[in-house]
Amino acid sequence: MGEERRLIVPAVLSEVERACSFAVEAAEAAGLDERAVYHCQMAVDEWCTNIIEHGFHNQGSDGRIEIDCRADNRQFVITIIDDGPPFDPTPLIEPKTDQPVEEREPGGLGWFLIKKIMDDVQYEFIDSHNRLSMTKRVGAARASIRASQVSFPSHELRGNIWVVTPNGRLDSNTAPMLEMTLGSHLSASHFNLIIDMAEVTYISSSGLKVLMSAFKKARGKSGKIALAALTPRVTEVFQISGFETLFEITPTVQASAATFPGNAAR
Amino acid sequence: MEITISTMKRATLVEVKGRVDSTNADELGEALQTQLDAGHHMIVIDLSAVEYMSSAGLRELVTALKNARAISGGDVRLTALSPRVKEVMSLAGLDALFQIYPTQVEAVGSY
Repeated sequence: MGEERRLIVPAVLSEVERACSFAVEAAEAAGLDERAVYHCQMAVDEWCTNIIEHGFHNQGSDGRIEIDCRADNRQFVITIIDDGPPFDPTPLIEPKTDQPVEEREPGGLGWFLIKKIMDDVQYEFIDSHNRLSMTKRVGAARASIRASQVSFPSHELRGNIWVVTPNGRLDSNTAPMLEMTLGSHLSASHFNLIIDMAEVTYISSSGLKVLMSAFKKARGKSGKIALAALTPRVTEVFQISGFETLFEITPTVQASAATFPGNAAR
Repeated sequence: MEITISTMKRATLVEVKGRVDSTNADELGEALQTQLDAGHHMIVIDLSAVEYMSSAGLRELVTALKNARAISGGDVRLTALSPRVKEVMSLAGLDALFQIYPTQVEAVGSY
């Protein structure tokens, strides 16, 4: 059995906060955790703002936005219905998030954030109304964290020097996996680690934080964590964040290995 | 949203409090631009008291960052992001653009 709630507000920015509060209350009542509730608030905010600014060009005092929240024990669905002109966001192309700041266009983020924070998003134009349904699966966030509780590959190079090979994006989703990989080496007294970054396409502050924390722990045990084979994009992040001066960074794993003492102490 | 600006020896500290969304993000943008126009181009934004920030707020941060970095020595550095704001910045791919510090002292001291 599900529960349904509905709110109708005029299509003006000053009403968006009320729409957000309504969604927050419904999401909390549906038992979503704090993070999922925040995501729901953000999805409602971003989409209502979009409708008001682009659908009604900020002149929507006669327009209406309806927010329906429906919950059952598996999912929480927010449907936003408006009578503005048809606007299908699904063909929009994701703004490039890997460019240097000078080349970035600051706008166009709202829709992509919605797609990233919600588990499913569907757009329809029915009976001259836009209808966007945004789903948050109950427990999905927990499941995705569990799924990431595995390690990146590692191998022993020589006398107690280990090479860790992460791949893909090192962001808030995958940083726990790196943390676990490095943590298991450190707790096995492997304090000399080379992180082969060749397959890492992106690193966020979450990834940097894990590296930093492991680096400090290894150094505290007279060990070393060095980085090898950074791609240009990842190199840029290290430069911007100032992390490049902290780590020894070499072009290859072999070159990195040469910087360790021949008989690295256990 | 409340904005408190303190001009310090090294940097200008902008403390933001409350909710930053499409109804007030432009005020944040204007406050930052006013500092840049006044020649205060080393900016630290303390987000510890921001309970919620939408993409409208992120947009103003990126605009200020671009404008600050266009000036020699200029930058916009962030400190004390809540886990939620940090997550959204990361999802938007913006966290790598900014220098982000755990504390206000570290952020101001970084200049």
